[in-house]
Amino acid sequence: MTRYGFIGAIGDDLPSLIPIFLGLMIFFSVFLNTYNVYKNNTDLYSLKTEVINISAIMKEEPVILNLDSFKKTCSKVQTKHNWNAFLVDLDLNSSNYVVLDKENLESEILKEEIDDSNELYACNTSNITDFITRANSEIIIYHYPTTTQKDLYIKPARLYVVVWR
Amino acid sequence: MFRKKKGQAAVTDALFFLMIIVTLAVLMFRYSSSYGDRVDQSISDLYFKEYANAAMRTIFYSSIPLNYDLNYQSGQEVDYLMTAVKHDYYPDKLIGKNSDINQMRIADAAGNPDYDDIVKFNLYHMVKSIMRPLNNYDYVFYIYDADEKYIFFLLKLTNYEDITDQTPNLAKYRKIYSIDSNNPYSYYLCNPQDYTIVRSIISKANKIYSSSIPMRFQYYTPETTLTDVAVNTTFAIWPATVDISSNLILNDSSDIEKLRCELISENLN
Repeated sequence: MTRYGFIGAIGDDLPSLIPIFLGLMIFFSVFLNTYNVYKNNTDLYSLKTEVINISAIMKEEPVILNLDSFKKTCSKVQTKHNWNAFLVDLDLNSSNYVVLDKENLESEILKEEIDDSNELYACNTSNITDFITRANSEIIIYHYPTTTQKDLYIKPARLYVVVWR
Repeated sequence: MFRKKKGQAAVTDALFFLMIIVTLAVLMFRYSSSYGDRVDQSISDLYFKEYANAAMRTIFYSSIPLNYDLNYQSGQEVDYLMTAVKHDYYPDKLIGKNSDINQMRIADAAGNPDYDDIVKFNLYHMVKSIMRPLNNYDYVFYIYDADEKYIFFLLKLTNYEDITDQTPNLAKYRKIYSIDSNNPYSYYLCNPQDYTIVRSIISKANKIYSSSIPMRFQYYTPETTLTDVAVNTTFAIWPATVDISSNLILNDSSDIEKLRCELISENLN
């Protein structure tokens, strides 16, 4: 005798598997997406917090007396992230202001003539190209005004602190 | 008859399960969309607060060339900015020549250099230079003494123009503004009547980051020779996109006109 609507003990449950699988797929994909958002944002905020902490150390001295003093301040920074800090000249005549970008970065970093040699006011001169080549979304740059000693006067400058993954 | 309906119970359970999962998914999306907003905002607030403090410190520690060249190497005398300000204040309790602090003049009518406003000129350019990298923020810098009198008041505003008609492809349900490319920024020297006016105008910016430093100036009087004056120097910045009724500053209108601002002309920039 044909029994309509009855496939079997397991067969009757087969249609219910479709919404179950659909639900599980939705759940795990959303969960994965949420976890990625959480992880990316947590990484971003830890980078930003690190920049703030490094900046606080770099801005300790109100006046950066010379390159040695600057390097000594750099050595106080302890962090697990990739980072760098450098100074760029700030002209008193703001019409001479140059927007800093990846192309002119190295040429704009403040240069001090010491014994006829030009020195970059950068905490780490070897990894400058590292963050230049990175996408903007992977690096955090904060800048602050500061002052540097130049001969017999004190001049304003820009302190840039960069942290990247 | 009941055997025909066995599978329906399982499907119904599965649909309930799907409904719960969808609810959980919506909640997780809501959580992920707003996760960390407060932390991000706190970090941003801390950064701008630190920037205002650093700007104030830079102003106080910097030197200025005592000329109108804005060039330290020009061979003229160089002095600390705040020392020059105090020195200028000493004889007449004014910075610069005019009792109208919203005036600044670098040459007389004949075109000869007039050095009475040289400190005011360099103070203006120092603040302007320090804030140049942060052009998307407007600011005010003022020095205010215990007699409730302003000694120096600098205001920077960003100029916006209505470009709604120039964007035909966008929906017209709101106005569209862009920075005026011909004259993006305006700098004013102001002579406010009192502090409450300044506070009422600037407090319209919902996000303000400020730094204040108390100082002690001295001025000369025939009776006592030296008299101490308590002075407060304040520097406040806010996002340029916030409108503090800037369009009313130069037009005569109730509170705003009491700032008594004068635009700094281009030949002084």
